[in-house]
Amino acid sequence: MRKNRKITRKMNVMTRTAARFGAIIGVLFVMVIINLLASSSCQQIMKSIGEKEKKLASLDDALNREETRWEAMKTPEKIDSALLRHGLAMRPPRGDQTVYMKADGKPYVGQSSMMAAARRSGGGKTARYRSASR
Amino acid sequence: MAMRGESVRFWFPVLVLSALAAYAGQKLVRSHVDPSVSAPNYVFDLEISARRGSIFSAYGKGYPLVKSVPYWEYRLDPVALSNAVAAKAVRRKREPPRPKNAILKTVSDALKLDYSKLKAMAENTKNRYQYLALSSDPDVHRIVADSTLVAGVAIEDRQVRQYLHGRSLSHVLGSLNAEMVGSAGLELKYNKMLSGTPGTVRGMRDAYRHELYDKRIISIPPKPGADIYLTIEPNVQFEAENAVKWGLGEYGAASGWAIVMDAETGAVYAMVSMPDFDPADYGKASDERKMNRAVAFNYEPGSVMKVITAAAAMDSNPKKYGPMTHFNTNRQDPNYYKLPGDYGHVWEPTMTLTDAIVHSCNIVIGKVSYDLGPYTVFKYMQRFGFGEKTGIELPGEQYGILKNPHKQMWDKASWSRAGIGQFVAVTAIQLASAYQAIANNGMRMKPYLVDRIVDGDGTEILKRKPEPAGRAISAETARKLRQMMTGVATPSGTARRAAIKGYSIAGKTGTAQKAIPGGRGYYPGLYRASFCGIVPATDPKLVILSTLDFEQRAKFHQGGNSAGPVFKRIALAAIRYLGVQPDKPEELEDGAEDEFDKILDERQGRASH
Repeated sequence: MRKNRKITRKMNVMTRTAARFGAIIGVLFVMVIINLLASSSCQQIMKSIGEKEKKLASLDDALNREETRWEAMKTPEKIDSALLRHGLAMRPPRGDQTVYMKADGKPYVGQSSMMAAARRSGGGKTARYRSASR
Repeated sequence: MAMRGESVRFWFPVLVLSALAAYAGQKLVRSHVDPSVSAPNYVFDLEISARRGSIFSAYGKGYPLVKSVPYWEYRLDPVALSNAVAAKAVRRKREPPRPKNAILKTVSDALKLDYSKLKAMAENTKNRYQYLALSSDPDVHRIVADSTLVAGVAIEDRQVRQYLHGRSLSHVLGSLNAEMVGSAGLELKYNKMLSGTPGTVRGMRDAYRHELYDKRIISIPPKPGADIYLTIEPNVQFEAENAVKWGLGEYGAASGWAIVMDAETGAVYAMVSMPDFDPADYGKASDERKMNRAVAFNYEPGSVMKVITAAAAMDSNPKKYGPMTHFNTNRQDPNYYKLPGDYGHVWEPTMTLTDAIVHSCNIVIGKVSYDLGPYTVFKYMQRFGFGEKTGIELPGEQYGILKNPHKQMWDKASWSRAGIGQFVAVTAIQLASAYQAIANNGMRMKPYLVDRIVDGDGTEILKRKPEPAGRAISAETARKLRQMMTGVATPSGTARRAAIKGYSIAGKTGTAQKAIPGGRGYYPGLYRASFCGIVPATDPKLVILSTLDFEQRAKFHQGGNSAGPVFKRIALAAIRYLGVQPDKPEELEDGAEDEFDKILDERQGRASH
């Protein structure tokens, strides 16, 4: 039987058009889905960044508050009143109790502490220390 | 070929159409989920304020003086409370709503407020957002912010400027006004640097006013303000403040001020001005309290200026004037016009320049000043920095008053008066700076308070180096002068009560009469007592100035008797904290109690042992 070439061509065209239309719809669908997924994931990430930013800021604030609380306790006035409150007679070291050292570990010349030590040791270069029993 | 052409003709429009459709589809879908897409009203602009920079002492990062601290401000909204917002919040959590009184009790307990007052506030529904408290306590915040416990309390984040040392150093640090703008002291001077740069966010919010982070259009983070590091030594400052306070109480002075300066560099270790104020409550302080007397107050210095006159004489004509040059003490000398007197003193017929300094003889120094003439006296006063600002980093610094004889003729009586510290007005910082020149072998350095400034991102934008302000006198004159001045703080000098064992002190007392405004003479019996000293005299490390201002007649109004002991207290502390070595160690007995320890004992109410 001889095929009607005209009908065959027409059917081919229709099939091809339907396939093309289907392809367009398919591509469209896939792109919308990809776009939505990407944007939703991006949104999630941004949200989590935002939350972390907030958390970081609040932790920073908490640290600042805590540091300040401790620093406020170290002022000379507070230390003075704390010593008084606890009946402690702590004093900053006197000149003859302090040895100022150079970077090489040797003491600076002419310090009152070194002179006092020399005096105690009877003019010697090194200090004599009293034993605990005395 | 034909197939390929056909394929391109087909697929190209397909792709373009697909892209457009995808965009439109996404918009369509998102607009149902996300109202901001279809509603441009949800765009918002937010300015994020920058953290204001801190101010630190010489000890650096671990020792802040001023900081901006995040606080929570709590305000009561009686309407919200009445509308049982709490109940709604609670219902969501399926718990029974709390009664109003229970909520108020929780708030009053947490914020330590009077319950009855809080209840009265809650009744007043006309007044919304009534201030309750400002707190940085996270435990308090946890309770008040808990919607199951509390409702009707609005919480706002606020940066509060915290002055960690209270009133200490208030005149130097200054204060902020209600808009967080510097209104005094360093806060004003460095306001722009401390403020930083605010950040900006332009973004979108959803219907619940939650930010849509993926919709941020602009996001510029704030740049925190610069941190300022001072030369102030907090312990020396504290002790200097205590010493001045002690002086005010002990001698009945109305006000007082003190400066501790590095003899070599001009760095200021301590600056005190009493009465002081609370920087956190600047608005309530009187103008009298707000004035920084160390830099913003002009006054006639009195005899502390005699040293400057002697310096001018010995430096301008070393052959004629020396430490041992003799002068006659006759006040009625016909060669001079209206010499100042030395009331109550009977002098030997002649006196050396050194003795004139040690005993503070007005007649001799008046004669020297008269002989030098106004031009020479003016020239040296200018060299010592009088009549001009020292340039210290504090607003409101005064110039002092020093008339230029080239422009304005000096009255003949003032030729001798200028030499003894009358007819001129100075500021305390000028005086300390002038003595610093003597201590630093004649080279005056610009006094400074700010050591360095570090930008918010950690870059050092300023590192202050000691800067010479000019040579006042030769090194030789300075050395001789210091030697002459060592007699003042000795049993025969005018300031024996300023003497410190183990240390030689080159200083000078001043007991200046207080001038009546408008040039109508002096208030009878009212004085300003000063002592300015260099420690130790042989190898100067510190320059210390102390002044007490009397507003009523006082028994110990002389510089040596009142300002001298204040100086001594400050010097003892500064020596201890800054590790200044004695130049006369032979005077220090082994085991002898240190005078500073006695002061500490006395302050802390302990008996010395």
